[in-house]
Amino acid sequence: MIRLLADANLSRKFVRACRRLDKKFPLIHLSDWMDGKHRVSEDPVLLAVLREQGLILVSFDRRTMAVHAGELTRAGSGHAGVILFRRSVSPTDYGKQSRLLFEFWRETADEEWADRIEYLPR
Amino acid sequence: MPLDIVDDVNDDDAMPTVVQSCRIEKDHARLLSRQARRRHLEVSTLSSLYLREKSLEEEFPGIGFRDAAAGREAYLPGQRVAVWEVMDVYREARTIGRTADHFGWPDYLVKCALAYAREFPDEIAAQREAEVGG
Repeated sequence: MIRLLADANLSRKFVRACRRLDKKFPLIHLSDWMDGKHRVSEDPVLLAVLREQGLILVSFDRRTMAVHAGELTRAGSGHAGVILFRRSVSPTDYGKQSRLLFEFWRETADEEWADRIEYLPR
Repeated sequence: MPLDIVDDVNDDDAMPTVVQSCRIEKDHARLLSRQARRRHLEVSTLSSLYLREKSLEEEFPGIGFRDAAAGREAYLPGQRVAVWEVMDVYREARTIGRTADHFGWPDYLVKCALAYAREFPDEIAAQREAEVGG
């Protein structure tokens, strides 16, 4: 079952790299999810839809995303969780991105994710 | 006060400004007022913002503007990616083709972002700084 959604600032190559580590890795790219219709959604809308669908957003770190997620938490509506790659990780190093997420997810998949924001590397 | 003195005052800013007046239909003025109230801005400030951004969107097709943590940010509407993020990838990928391949886009979207970033390098650097700090 899909649990993670890769944002548009991540490449589909990253998704493929994760699948090379585990064919059933529960990650889908935003462009491939719901026929890509949320590629136009602003952060708060996307986070709200992901909350309804129970999907955790995986993205590159942008202060704005953390701000929007925090606002949803404070407003009480909440979000389903956000995982952000620090900018020290190269945007084109799909191998490193996939290994970081794969290892992290192996340790945390069964934990409570609501309103949680995590940064990789930790 | 003569207008040239107003100009002198505004020339002290990093970006000199001029006063530009225009007429709009009453319905649109009401709409503008409503939007300004919603965003807690003066009508003149919002009008100025709209004029600036619309003129830039005309000049740089494919570029739009959105709210970000530290103000407005240039991005590619329909892709959820800021211009500075495209530049981050381009710096590593080094070619338009490889950058487009990274995002799964046609080349022209990368060219749109590059054209804007080349014209406003300081603005793009400031937007990156605001989002990721350096």
